[in-house]
Amino acid sequence: MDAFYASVEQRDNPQLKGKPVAVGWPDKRGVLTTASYEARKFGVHSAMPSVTAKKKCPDLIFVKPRFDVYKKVSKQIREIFREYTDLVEPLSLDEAFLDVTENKMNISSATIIAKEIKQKIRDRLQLTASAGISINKFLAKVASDMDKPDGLFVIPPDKTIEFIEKLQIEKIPGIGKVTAQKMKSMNINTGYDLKQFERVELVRLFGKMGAYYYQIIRNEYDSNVVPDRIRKSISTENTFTDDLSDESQLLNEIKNISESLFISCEKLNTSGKTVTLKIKYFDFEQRTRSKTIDHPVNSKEELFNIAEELFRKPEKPVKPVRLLGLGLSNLNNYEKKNDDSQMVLNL
Amino acid sequence: MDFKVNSKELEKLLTKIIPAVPSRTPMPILENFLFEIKDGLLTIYATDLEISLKSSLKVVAEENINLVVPAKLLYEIVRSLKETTIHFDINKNGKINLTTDNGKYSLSYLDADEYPEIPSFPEKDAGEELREISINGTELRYAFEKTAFAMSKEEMRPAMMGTLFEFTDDGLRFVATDGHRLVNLLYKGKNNDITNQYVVPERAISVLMKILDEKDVKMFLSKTHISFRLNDIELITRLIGQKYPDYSAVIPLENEFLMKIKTKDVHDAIKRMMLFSATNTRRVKFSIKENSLEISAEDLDIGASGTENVVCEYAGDSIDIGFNSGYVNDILSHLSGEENVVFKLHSPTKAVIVEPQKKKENSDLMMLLMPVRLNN
Repeated sequence: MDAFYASVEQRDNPQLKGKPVAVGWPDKRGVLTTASYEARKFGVHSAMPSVTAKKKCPDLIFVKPRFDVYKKVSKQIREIFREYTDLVEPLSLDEAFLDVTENKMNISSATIIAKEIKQKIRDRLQLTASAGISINKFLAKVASDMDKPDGLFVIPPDKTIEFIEKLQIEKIPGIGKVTAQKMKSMNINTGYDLKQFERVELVRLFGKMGAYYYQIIRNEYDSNVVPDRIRKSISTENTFTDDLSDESQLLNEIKNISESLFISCEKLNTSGKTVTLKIKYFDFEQRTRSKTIDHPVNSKEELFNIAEELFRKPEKPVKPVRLLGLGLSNLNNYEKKNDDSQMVLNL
Repeated sequence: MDFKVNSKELEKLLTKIIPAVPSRTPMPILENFLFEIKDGLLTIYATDLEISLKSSLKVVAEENINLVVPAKLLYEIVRSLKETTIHFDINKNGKINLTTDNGKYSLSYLDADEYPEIPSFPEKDAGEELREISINGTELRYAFEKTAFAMSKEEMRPAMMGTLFEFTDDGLRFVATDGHRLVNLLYKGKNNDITNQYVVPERAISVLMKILDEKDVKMFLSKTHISFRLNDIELITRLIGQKYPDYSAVIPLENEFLMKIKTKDVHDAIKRMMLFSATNTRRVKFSIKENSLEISAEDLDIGASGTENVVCEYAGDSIDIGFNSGYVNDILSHLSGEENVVFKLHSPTKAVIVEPQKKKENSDLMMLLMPVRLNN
């Protein structure tokens, strides 16, 4: 989003339109969170001390931030994104990565999607956004900064190498003022200059970030868009072609469902403490039974045992069963270890 | 109320009990000893609610007394005294006065009622079948020394946070694993008609290692607790009420390539290669060829690498396999008493068995290690 907080304020208060606006507190120690484009002309920018900003732009109008409003708008923007894809990785309230390789609208051009999203943001929220399009997150981010405000910038796949080599190093996310200075003092001004260094050398010069520079400059940085939706539960269910009454058949189904649910858990690297069994009878009457244990379920056998207990207690199904479902909730979303090359005994 | 006791005898007793006093606990009262004097016999208890220790000593007392005293302070005073008689005088103001030939010390005490219930062993009449077996203290300590390091610290799998005691037809087996490595020690023929599994928590193991000596230990086993009795000490521990994973299923049978190597040589090399292994993976690479082992490690972040060659006996297929150097070091440290060890291998993605070359008559020791993937 372009000058997000300031734009929201200008939208909601027409008297601010076209004027230099800063969102922040005007007091001595305050800093700006955002400056409108009118203010930026005076050299005012975000994170600048309010006092300095006022000196640069004496007509600057200060507005106190209303974070609840920004959050609400942010949610509305994300809803627009989700019309195209669920692979949305928010960076902040007003910035996000979208992976539109496959999208809900079946549009083959990312540029068309970007245009549509920008239009929808303008129509529905009366705000402007800038989009960057390319083959990975790093380049998309750089592209989005190339043509602000209300911009759209594409780095086509066959132009990425050329683009990176020509890129001024201070435009690279992760290279801040100090690093940029250090690089310039070493005559590293562009991506091309940076590319001349060996990995070890970059690591020696810039520590861990050196390895990152080495990778991004070669388009090798792991760049999956990671949606942050927090999962609350996982479940699997199965509707039978013919309603089932036989106990051993039903148990066999529960066993299959337990296994496939546990595989999902492993894929998502999570497990839960609460097991819920859903039984839908032939007449569509539905029952759910739950049990919570003191630790996340840790094997498919354990899951099956609990499911079987729920199946029997308080009573076995009394009518032919149309559907069985099994769910896990109360999930522990434990973090992935940073290294998964250590193999594990299949205990 | 008062009683008298010899300082050295009391020190001996407190030394045995203090390991059960938890150092960090949400229940401050557990940082105390429970004193019970009955008919001239002083019994001292300590517990962290998972395990408890108790032992007794004859004292000179007229009355029966129950009270709770600060464990660490009392232990430190008594330990620092020369041999003397300590006179304990309990007054009604919550103070207990200790008097020796030339010193007077005053401690606060609490009522025994405030002390929580101590894990206790189910009485025989509870309708539960109790088992009793006897094992040599040195053997038990050896078992813990060899296995304890492999116990898991992750709460995801509670059973793996303990050590398995398994009574089988072959004997008594101890197993510990964290999913990456596994130790399996079998004492042959130690069988008292019991076929059962007991999972003993880490805390009980670490306390037992402090108090075990060469004398025999009696174990009383119930479904929920084990009582260890050695000399005049009793340690009662709760058992972990989770089924232990099926360790036997992961012990490979097809590891046909054997590498015999001097323990010290490979261990020394590993210690040096650890310095060069990357901090996040700690990976070292074993490149094994005919009668030669090359160990190498590389830390890209600091731009360092190292390679060493170790002589070995090997006639199998050439193999490149990665390990976490910390785990290899752990295993070799626990086999350091052996002159030679044997690595049994199959492929870079299958568990490796590490064993002493020389088999013992009465026991079998086996360690298992899962490799780390090599990316190239």
